[in-house]
Amino acid sequence: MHPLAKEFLVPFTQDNKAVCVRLVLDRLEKAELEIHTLYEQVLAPVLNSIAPSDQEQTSSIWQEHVRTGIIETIIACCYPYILKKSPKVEIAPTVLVFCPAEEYHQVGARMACDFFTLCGYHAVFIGANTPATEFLPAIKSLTPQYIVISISNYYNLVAAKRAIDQIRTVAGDTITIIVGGHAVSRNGDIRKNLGADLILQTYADVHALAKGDGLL
Amino acid sequence: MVNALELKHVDKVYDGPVPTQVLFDINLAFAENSFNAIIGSSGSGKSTLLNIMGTLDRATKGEVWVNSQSTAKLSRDGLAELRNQTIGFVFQFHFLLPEFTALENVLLPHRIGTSIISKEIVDRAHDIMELMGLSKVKNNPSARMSGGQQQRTAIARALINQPSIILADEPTGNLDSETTETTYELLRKIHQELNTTFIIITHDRRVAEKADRIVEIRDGKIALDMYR
Repeated sequence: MHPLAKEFLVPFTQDNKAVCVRLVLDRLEKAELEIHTLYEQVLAPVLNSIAPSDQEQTSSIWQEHVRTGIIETIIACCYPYILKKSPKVEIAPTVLVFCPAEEYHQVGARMACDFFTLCGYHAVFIGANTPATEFLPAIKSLTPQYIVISISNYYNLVAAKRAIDQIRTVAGDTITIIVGGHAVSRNGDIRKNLGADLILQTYADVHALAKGDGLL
Repeated sequence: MVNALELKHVDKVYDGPVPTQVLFDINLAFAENSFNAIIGSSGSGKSTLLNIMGTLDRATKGEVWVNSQSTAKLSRDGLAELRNQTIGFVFQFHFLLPEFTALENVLLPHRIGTSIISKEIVDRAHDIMELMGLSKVKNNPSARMSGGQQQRTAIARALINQPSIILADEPTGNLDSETTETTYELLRKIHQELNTTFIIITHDRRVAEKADRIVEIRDGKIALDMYR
């Protein structure tokens, strides 16, 4: 575990939002911490440690919600630092990020969206639990080059497949569809069944895509 | 890994003036001691699939293997014997005999198999009913039990012959949300304590998402096969 994660875990398990936020902002302000390190080696592991997606629920749901709220506050606070690091790109490809219908775990999707911003894309986070009635008009309006669908609960792979089928019906193969999230990581060979083009799970994956697109 | 149940290239066509194919080249294997859910919309073919897996119906083409034994060449009696010894069934409706007590209903599959009810079997029935939280009502006529108790009795009945596989078709479909949760917890407990393989057809998200594997059937084909 990253040393900051160990330090963070103490106020985090005490639901001490103020101390958690200060701890992270202090490191960012001093430029001692990269955003992707914060997300991948601090926030994700501590969140997973209290709400493991592959096990039965052990902690109280209210407590999980409070702690998820702490993580989301920190992610929101990171945005100015993300903008500072984001390369200036003349025509940035648009990326739409959302979770399929009934998927309420949005932290991973928010982190993914920030990774795309950090790598020079124009990334738009729509939200959790996004039905076709919402993402189809968004696609029409924003004409993205990429769509990222984040799936945590593996039951929601069903809704993700439906979403991909609906996107293909209106956009064919003109949009690259990317899937990621815990449910995908446990079902590595599912990309083809879902009808997605790519699986991206890490900052390094997004970075490599951006390099291929000539953004970095 | 040993498979408890396996389907190899299974097709099912219902005869009639216009033959209707409802299953198309299904290949599925369920590992021993696994906990699986099958989901799909109405008419997707999931109940037909369960009937074929349970040898209640024959595939038009393809093979069904139960505990590494092909069922293709088994006679009707042979299939019935295999079923009674290996597979327990739970349905949406409990199909308990109303004039019998809960305990008598639980003992029925054994009575059908051997007609002799030994002390050992009665003890086993008591143990299973205790596991299912039915000790206090085991001597009640089944018609005088709550919906949840009736369904738990049906599950106990499915377990009396110590099947290695339980096939359940919408086992919580007729229960309220609290009773659904209790019933699901019991199924999990049985799975863990008795090492039983579970294959549950359900449209209840709360049940499906807790399974270790979900297979989605769409238009008679496997649309998705997902692991937790």
